[in-house]
Order: sequence, then structure tokens, then C-alpha cells
Amino acid sequence: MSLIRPPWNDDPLDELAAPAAAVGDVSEEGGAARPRSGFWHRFLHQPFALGGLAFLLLVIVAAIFAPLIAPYPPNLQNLNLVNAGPSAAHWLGTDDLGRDILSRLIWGGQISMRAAFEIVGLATVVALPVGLVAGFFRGAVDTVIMRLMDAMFSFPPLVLALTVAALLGASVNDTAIAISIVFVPSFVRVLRGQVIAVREENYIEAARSLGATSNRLIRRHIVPNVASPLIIQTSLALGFALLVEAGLSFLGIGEQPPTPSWGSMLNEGYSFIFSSSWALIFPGLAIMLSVLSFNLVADGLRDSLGRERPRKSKLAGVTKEKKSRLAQLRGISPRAAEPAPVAAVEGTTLLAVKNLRVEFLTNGKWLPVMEGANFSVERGKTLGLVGESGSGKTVSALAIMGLLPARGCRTGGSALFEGRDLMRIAPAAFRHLRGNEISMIFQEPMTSLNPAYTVGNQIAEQVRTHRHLSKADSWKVAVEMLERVDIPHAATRARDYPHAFSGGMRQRVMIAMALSCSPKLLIADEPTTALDVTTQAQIVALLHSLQREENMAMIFVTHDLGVIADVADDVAVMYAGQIVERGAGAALFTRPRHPYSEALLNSIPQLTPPGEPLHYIPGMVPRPDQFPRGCRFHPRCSYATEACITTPVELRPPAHIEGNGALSATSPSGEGDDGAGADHRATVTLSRCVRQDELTLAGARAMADVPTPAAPGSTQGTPLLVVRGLSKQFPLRSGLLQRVSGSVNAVDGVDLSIDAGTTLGLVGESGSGKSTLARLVVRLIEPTAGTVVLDGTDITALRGPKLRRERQGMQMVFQDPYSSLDPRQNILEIVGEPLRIHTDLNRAQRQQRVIELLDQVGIGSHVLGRQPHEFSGGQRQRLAIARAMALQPSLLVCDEPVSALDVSTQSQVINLLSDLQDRLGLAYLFIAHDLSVVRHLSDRIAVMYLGQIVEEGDANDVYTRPTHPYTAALLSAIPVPDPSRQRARQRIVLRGEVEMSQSAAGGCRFRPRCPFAMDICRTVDPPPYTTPSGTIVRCHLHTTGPELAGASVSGLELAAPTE
Amino acid sequence: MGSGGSLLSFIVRRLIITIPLLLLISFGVFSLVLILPGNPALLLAGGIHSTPAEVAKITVQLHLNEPFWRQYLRWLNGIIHGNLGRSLFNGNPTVASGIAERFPVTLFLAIGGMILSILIGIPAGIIAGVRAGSASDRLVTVGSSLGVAIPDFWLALLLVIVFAVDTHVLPALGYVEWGTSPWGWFQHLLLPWLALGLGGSATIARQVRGALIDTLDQDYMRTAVAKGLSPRRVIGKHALKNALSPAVTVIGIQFGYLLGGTIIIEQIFSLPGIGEYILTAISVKDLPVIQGVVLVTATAFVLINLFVDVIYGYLNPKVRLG
Repeated sequence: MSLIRPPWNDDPLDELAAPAAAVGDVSEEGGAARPRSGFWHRFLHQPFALGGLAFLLLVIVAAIFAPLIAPYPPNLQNLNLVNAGPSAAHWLGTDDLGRDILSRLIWGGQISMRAAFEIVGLATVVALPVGLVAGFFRGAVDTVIMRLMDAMFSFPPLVLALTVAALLGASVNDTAIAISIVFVPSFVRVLRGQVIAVREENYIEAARSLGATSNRLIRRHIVPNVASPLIIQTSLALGFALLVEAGLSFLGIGEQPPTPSWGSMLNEGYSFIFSSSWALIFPGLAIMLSVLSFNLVADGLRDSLGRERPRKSKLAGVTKEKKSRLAQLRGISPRAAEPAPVAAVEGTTLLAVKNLRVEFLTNGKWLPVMEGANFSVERGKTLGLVGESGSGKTVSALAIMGLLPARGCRTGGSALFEGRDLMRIAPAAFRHLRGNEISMIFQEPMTSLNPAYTVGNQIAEQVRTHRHLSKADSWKVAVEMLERVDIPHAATRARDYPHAFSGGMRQRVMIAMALSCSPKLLIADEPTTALDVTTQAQIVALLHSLQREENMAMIFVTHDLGVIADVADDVAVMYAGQIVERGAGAALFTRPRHPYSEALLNSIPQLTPPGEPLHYIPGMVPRPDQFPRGCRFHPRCSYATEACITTPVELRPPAHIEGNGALSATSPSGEGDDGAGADHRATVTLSRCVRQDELTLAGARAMADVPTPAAPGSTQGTPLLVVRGLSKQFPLRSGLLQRVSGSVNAVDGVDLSIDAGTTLGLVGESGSGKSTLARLVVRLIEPTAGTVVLDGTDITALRGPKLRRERQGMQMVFQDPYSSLDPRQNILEIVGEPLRIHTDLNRAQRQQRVIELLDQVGIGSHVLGRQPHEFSGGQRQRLAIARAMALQPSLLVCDEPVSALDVSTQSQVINLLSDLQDRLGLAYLFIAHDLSVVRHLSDRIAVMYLGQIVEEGDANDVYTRPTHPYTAALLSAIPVPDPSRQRARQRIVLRGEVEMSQSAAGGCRFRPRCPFAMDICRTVDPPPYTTPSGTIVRCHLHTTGPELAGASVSGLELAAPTE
Repeated sequence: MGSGGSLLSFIVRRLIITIPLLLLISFGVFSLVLILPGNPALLLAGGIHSTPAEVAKITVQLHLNEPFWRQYLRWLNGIIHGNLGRSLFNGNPTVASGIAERFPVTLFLAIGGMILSILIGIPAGIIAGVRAGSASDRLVTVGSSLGVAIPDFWLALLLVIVFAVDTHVLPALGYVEWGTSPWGWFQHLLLPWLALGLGGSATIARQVRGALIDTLDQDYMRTAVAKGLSPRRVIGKHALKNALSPAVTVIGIQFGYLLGGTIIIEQIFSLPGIGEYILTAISVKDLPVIQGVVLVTATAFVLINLFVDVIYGYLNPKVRLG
């Protein structure tokens, strides 16, 4: 499964990433078409590569026209003029037989270059099919081919070439054959690796599910996408071939004199080395410069090809500057290293940030990404920083920690931490604070730990650095810390490397490390964004309890208001490099004072009743070079007036408070706030809105928990998709020989049915088997058992052309919009591909149909010639939907189609899907890990756990009256964007993770994590039970034990933990 | 999940893979006889000028009248017992003794060149990678671009011209046994080492530089700084171990080029290694010698790469699972 990087900051600089390459989101369609900077444009801007290319062209042209260009025949001897230096008649002098060196070089170029091209050409002709077959079909063929290549690769290249050449004979063609053998294995390896990488991409799966044949897949998708690395490899190989050929001719193997090659010229010169070394210089130079040129061209190609698909689009200038993190690593920063002014420690305030300013150098200009931020953090309290991507929240956190790259980035203002200004502190003193008094955890637990050291080592290292303990003692602390973050078997797990931990467990390790020196302040930068909801709930609960124990303060950066409601005492809402609202957490949710805060609250899906379109904020956060004048939010604000457009707005308290002078001591005017609002924090909310006093903004609306009546008619329809007993086993390998030692039931006897025109939502944690189920349904992978019946046709046993024809009825939309569109094709080709495969439409008709399809998903027809990299994530998902709709399928399988998108974009895509369903009567199998999103779109919901559907029923029933403890746990893990309710409700925080329970053989598979587990659950796999309301549930609670008999499990008192 | 992949089981797995690989190689080496055009016995005996008696003698000596598989198994059996066959010429000395006599010279040459290229390449790559964009980085980048492109035998010729022909600082030709004179041994090998090692060091420097730049950009480097570690520790501990692991693979592959390169270098410096042995054998089509030398160099290459793999596994715990 591919690791999805959500578009919100996975990197400090991504905060800026309103995708630079994107055309602007749909609502702002028609963004200026910028000139396409294609391959040639980039290549022509590389002087070295161009120089190399020019030299090679010169040599090749000269060699081809040698008879015309060379001043003398190659072997014309002039024994009166041997070993002469340069002269007008002989520009490069003559050799020991009085032959003109320049002429011989030109003629020699013919032999040497021809040999190089022949060698590489031959190797490519052999390696291309072999590598494609090995990489595409894998399996036994691949194994045999690769073992053979390994064996060929085990011969030292020159020895192999020499031997084969010598045994074959001695003409230039035979030598080329011999040398090309040396190149085949490395070509095959590179090609196979590329093919495998491309094969993993979703666009290959997408094309297969469209009904493309293997032949078409290889020709249209694989070959174009592996072409670039192959071209680069070819250029490098040409240089190397030149070297090997020269070596062999130097040894006298291969083409023999009188026709000179550069290598044999060296051979001749070598015999006269003690009398004259002149003749040795130029052939060697010619070889070296040619090889160098081939390498430079290869470097240039590498930089110009394959860049059309930036996964993380960044502002170009910043990326460039970011390359050297050295200065940052050394703790050197562009800030003046003045002694920190000693200020009085103010009461309970731990950190006071004043006028924080961060600027990035972009295309030669300093652009502010955070301006004049003021906030403070109280001891033991939590400050939440919220906002969309690009708001500046992560950048602020990194600035405080001194972790911004030193180059291309500058900061201003102050951050007083117990009287020391972190913006001016000396590097050595800062090192003493970092990891010791201030710690930080990051968004990406998968990449934030060093893969080369055990987790124990990494924690102990930090302890040793700051506490000066012995190795053994610091290791003990590391193990204790791992225990404190609830990692089972901490003592043994400490010796494991990060790759042996799941994402949630790695984040625990990060927390253990961050807290190992009992810091006073923890900065948590989106610590749960990359995790499952259930894991998120665990991590948040863990941070909460550790914070209480340690009386530690926290800065919690997140885009998720639900999480903020859970953790934050105070909140600062950020937008486009400014704080737009700051105040107590509770106040934000009950009565937001800035329209942006209101809009953020409104776009939380669970606050919109099912059936209504989801709210979203139109447009995107502007890039720093495009911040609007006046209020920065005005272009997206529904309350904007004339005044908002022209005058910048200040952050200030409401007029009635500002007027009464109660705060004059701390916030006189101007900036209107000093960051140290300890005593009025609970009462006053500051807002950067001109109209804050006249507007009454809505807080988190009354929760839509009330069961809404089931949609009429949704209960009896004609089943479109019927799945019975569907299973998929994957073999498990272990031991020295990687023998198959068992199997995992990724999907285990699943029954499903979807009525025409309805949506079945499928939820579960990662690892539950949802994606496997989706791929089984659309026949991308072969089931181990069971049947799939689509519209009355059993498609389980279909193969070849029949299957490809049936594929028209159902299409798939993938999770990662960055990998599901072929980066080498344009929009017309991508969306039109299904039409090419299945219809006889001509080009014009196809184009007409593609324009209609694009129109249906809200994208204008002017994009036909563009390539996927020019679109934002949300737009790509629309394009993927348009492609899936091309053949008018009756069923769309959507595998987490919105998980990789920002909240606002997510809402737009969901609205589009529900719109299309209303208009076209599509049925959806909609997979997501977010129950509130699923509930919004679904008629029925199925909950999956370890390959089994544990509960399936009407969407409202499942959401409001869950009958399976797992469903209840999933529901209670969703953070509620309302602090008072959030704290009041009873929550089931699951222990452990999905994989951990896999050992439970027999009995209920959820038992190891179930808070209600009984004896019978150990031994008997619960059979399906149908509740009076029609929900099917697999849980003993309904038949034995308390005998809920179909009642909601939520009402059940949590028994004392059984284990 | 378990702890998964101890270094020991990784090494054992690698060893197990190596055995079939070596068998495959031996088969490939023996198959060289198949690419000889025409009747091999006739060709090996000296072509059309050979007497029927000579042809018959060679046919018997090489068992060319037996089926190919029998020939191979017989040959393989010999190899397992340390018998590589006998040369077809010069009173038929055994190939094993011929190689044993010459291989040390080649090995000294290759290993010395390797050490030199590591000693130059890794520090140069680190300096360039750590200070990407600086003047020293540019120097290393330009130098290594040239170093990769320069033919090693041409470099050898230039070294001979400068140090031996023009200035007589170092001996140009020949070899002195370590036992005879360690200083002489060193002097005679210094230029060959330089000729072999400089090109390799360029490749290694480029690899290390690239890997280090990538590593410094990783999230875990930011974690290391956030922990309050000193710059020396951040780079020395957290960056280098990760950055060097891809370089190690390159060093392994590089050794193969070095082993091949020695053939030409030995020729230029008149060193009595296996290069001279195989070149002579090739010129007279002395098949058993050719097969023996190719087999031994390939085996040496495989074993070096096995060693490199183990180091790679140590540096990069993830691959141990593979």
C-alpha cells in the first residue's frame, strides 16, 4: 500500500505549498495558463550539458565527414616530419611515423564512436525485452532472468569483454558484441527496477481496470514512463562503452591498425613512450572529453527529464535554497548571536512570542510567510495553532525551535523562553535547551526516526547528551520511557530498528524521545495527521496524561479543529501568515469571532447533516507572493465588504472591551496585544476582522447526532453488486529460505451487496483489508474464494477479453491522485483512454465526449492538452472521476478518494460524487477511514476488521446506534469539535493496533482489543446476527452475555478492564 | 512482527545465495569453449597447420570427445579439488600453480587501488556533500567529473611520462617482491595504484556526495538537531551511517572494474600479475588458462561483494529483512 503524504505540511516549507504548479482549485478555474516549461526549455538552460552535447555533435559530425574534413588521409606517412609539434600544416603535430595527428583523431572518431553506439545499441536491443518481461510479469520468469543477470554481473566487466572478444575473433563488430555483453546485466537491472516502480503506480491499476490489455499497458504506460531513466542510462553507457572499447584496442584486441581508433592510437604511441610522448596526449584527451560530454549530457537529461511530476510542489526558489541544511545543522542562523537579554520571568508564562516574523527567499525576493505573530504559552497549558496548509503554523513552530533552514530564510521578533530570547540565543546555549527543556515531535513518524539506529539507541543518545549519564543508565531511561508511552515489551523493543514499528508506535517512540529529558515545553507539529483515527485518539490521550504528570506546556499544531477541541486551552487561528483569531479554546467553538474560524468549523463534515451538501471554503490559501491587500481572507470570505478589500486589519479585542480601558496596561493599541495575556486569556478573544463587533458568527453547530429518518426507498432496490464469501489469502514467508510458512487472510469470507444508485460506505483502520476488498471487487487481484456478481453476471471466473468487456460496468477511483494519472499523458489521452479501448469513436468524437465528461466534474475544456502535474490534488481527483465515468459504469469503487486531500477540497469532491449520483444514478462502494465522511455519503455502512465485515447496516443506524464494540470505538475516536461535549462523553479508546491481534486464532478477531470481551469470545467466532432494525453484526454481546439483542453497544457500561 | 533480521541470519542467507551463483558462474566460464568458432580441438591445436596427432592430443586432454555435460562435470569436479587443469603450452604446467604465482600481484594491485580510492573518495565526497554549493564542493565536483571520464590506462601513461620518463622519481616498469624489498615493492606499486585508484575515487566521491546531500534533507536529520545534538554528532553519527550505505555498494561494484583494469595496468607497468598471464593465454588460445583466470577473478569479485553486502547489512538494518 502506498504511503500517502497528505498535502498539508509534511515539511516546513510545504506550508507554502499552495501548489506552485497547480492551476488553482476548481472554484477558481481558469487560472492563467502559464507557458509550459518542457524538457527542451529545461535542458537548454544547462550550460554544461549543452557544452557536452555540442562537443559530441562536433566529434560525430567530423567523424562522419572525415573524408571531407580531415586534412590528410589517416595513414599518410611523412617520415621527414616525425613527432613534430603543432604547425600550420599539422595543427596537432605528427606522430612517430610522421602522420597527421588531427586527421587520425578525426578518422579514429569514426571507429571509436561507431563502436560505442553499436555496443550500447546491441545491449539495449537485448536488455529492453528482457527487462520489460522480468519487471512486468515478475514471478518465476523474473527470478530466472535475474539470477542469470547476477551471474553475468559477477564477472569483472573488462575481463569478460576481453575474453569473449579474444575468443570470438577480431573485427569491430565482434568486439562490439563482446563488450555489449558487459552492459546487458546492468541495463536489465535498471530497466526492471523502473518497470517494477512504474507497475506499482495506481495509473497502471487504473488502466487495467479500464480493460487495457497487457500489450497496451506496456506500450502506452510502462515504456513511456521508463523511457527517461533509460535514456539517461544510455548516455552514461555510451561514455563507458567508449572507455572499454579504448581499453581493448589499447591491448590490441578488436579493430587493428591501419585503421586507427583512439585506443589503438594510444597503443602505438605507447611503444614510443620513451622517445616521444607527444602522440599520447590527444587520443587520450579525445576519449576523456567525449566520456565527460556523455556524462554531462546524462546529468543534464536527469535534471530535465522526469521532473514533471513533483509529489510535493514547492516554491522553486525555496527548494533550491533548502539544499544546504548544513548551517542549520550547525545551529548557525542568520540571526545576530547577541547575548540574550535577561528579562524577568513573568509569572506563569513559559514562552512569550512577540512580533514573530519569518521570511523565505523566493526567486530573489524575501516573502513573509509569517508576520507579527504574538502568542504565549502558559506553564502546563496547551496552545493550539490551527489553520489550513499554507497558513504559517508549522513555520512558526519551527522558527521557535530554531529549525528553519539557515539559507533562504530569515526570522525576526522575539521568543522569550524563561527570559532567554530563542531568536538571539547562541547556538551552543540553544543546543542545551533543545531536546532538554524544549522538545519537538513531527508529523511524519515514518521518516522522523533514523533508520540506521535502534530506537533505544536514539532515545538513550538524547538522555546522554543532556543528562551526562552512563551508557547503561541512559539505556535504562530509554526503556522506562518506552514503557511510559505504552510500548509493549519495552525492554526488547528498544533493541529494534524503526522499520519494525508501525506509524502509531513510531510516534510513541518519538514522544518517548521528546519527553526523555522532561522538557518544560513540547512542540507537537501535526503529530497525529498521518495516523488512523483510533491511533490518533490513543496518541492524544497519551500526550494528555503525560502532560498532566509532567506539568509540561505544549504547542499543538494541527489543521484538525476536532483535535484542537480535545487538547487546547488556548487557540491561535492562523491564515496566510497572520494570526486571525486568538483566545480561549472553548470560546472559539462556541462563539468564533473571525469568519475564517467560522468557515473552518463549518467545513467539518460531521457537523453537516447527511443529505445536505458539505460546506467548504472556496478557493485556496494564497501563496506568500499573492497575499491580497486589505484583509487577507476577504477573497474567500462570505462577509467581505468594501472596507475589507482595501485596508489591512489589525488583531484587536472586541470594541466593548477595548473601549472600557480594562486592558490598557497590556494592550494599548496598535498591535493590540502583547502575547502575555495570562489574566485576560479566559475572557478576551482577539480577532483580525473589521466587522467582528457587528457579526454574530456561528460556533460548532448542534451535532447531527439525532437519528434522521431513513431515506425513503433506499431499502428495497435491485441489487447491482452481490459479493458472496469473497476471500483473499496472501502467503507469509519466513525463515532462512523465505519459505511460505503460512498465510494472512486479508479478506476473509466477505458478503456484500449494493443496490443500484446507492452507496455502501466501507470503513476500518488501515490494515483491515478495505483496499484489498476493493481490488477484489473490480478484479484487479484474483480472489482465493468467493464470487462477485455484477448486474447479474458472475465476473469471478471471467478472463481475458470477456473480463475486459465486463470491466466497463464498474470503475475505480484511487486514493492517491498523484499516482493515478499517467504523468506522460495529457488530459485528453487520460480521460479518453477508456473510449479508445472500448469504443470506435474517432478522435473528434472522443474529444467531444471528453469535454462533456470534464464538464460533469466541473473542469473546463481548455485543459485538454495539459499534463497531470499542472493540477492540484483535488483537480486530479476530479479528472480521475471523469475518466472513471467515461464508459458510463453503473458502479464506482472509490478507494479512500478524499483521504489525501485538504478538508476543504475533500468536501468539494464529496459534493461532486453525491451530485453525480443524483444525476446519473451511480452506485458507489465508498471506502474511507473517516466515519463522518462515510456517513455523509452512504446509504449503508459496512465496518471491516481484519478482513471481516463486523457490522453492516443502515448508515444512520450504524452511525448513531453502533451495535459492534469496534464500530463504537471508531466512532468515539472521532474528535468532536466542541470542547465541553468532547470532555463529557464516554470514550472507548482502543488498546493496541490491528496487526497485534492477528495472533488470535479462533474466536472473535476483535477480542484482544475489545473492552467487553467475554470468555466465549476466546473460542467461538461470533456468527452474524441480524438486529430488528436490519443491521448484521458479528458480536457475542447480542446473543450471549448481556444479550443486547440488537441494541446499541454505546449504552453498555464499560466493565473494569478484564486483563 | 518480532525483531526480524539479525545480522547473522542475513549473512547466512547471503552465503546460501552465493553457492548457486558460483555454480552458475563456473558453468558460464566453462561454456566459453562453445563460443570458439569451428572445431575447438583444431583451433586450440593451432588451426590448419596443426598435425592430426596434436589435435588428437588436445581432444583427449580436454575430453572434447565427451558430451558437453560430462566435460563440465569433470571440470567442476576438478575445480572443487583445486585442479584447474593444465596449460596447453610450455610443458603443460598446471593452471592452479600459474595463477597462484601471479594472483598475489594482481590482488595487491587491486586492493591497494581500492584502498586509495576509498581514502580519497570518501573524505572528498563528505567534504563536498556537507558543504554543497561551496568552493570545495565545486572543486570536488569538477575533479570527480574528470576523474570518472579519464581512461585509467591513459592516466597510467601520463604518470609514467611525468614520474618515470621525464623526472625519474619512481620506477616505470617491473616489480619487486615484498620479501626482497618492502620499499621497492611500494615504489613499484605506487604509480599503478594511483592510476587505478584515482578513477575509482571519483566515482566514490560522487556517490558519497549525492547520498550525503539526500541524507541531510531527511526528516530524521531535523529530529537529530531538535534533540540538541552537536553538529559533529548530527553529521558524524546520524548522517554518515545512512549516507555511506549506498556508497558501500558502489565500492563493491567498483572492485570489479578495478580487477579488470589491472589487466591493462599490469601491461603498462610490466607487472607479473594475471593480466599478463591471461593476455598471453588469449594470444595463443590457451583455453584452460583463460577459463581458470576468468573463474578466479569472478570468484574473487563475488567474494568481495559478499563482504560488501555484509557491511551494507550492518549499515542498513532494513536490508537484513530482504
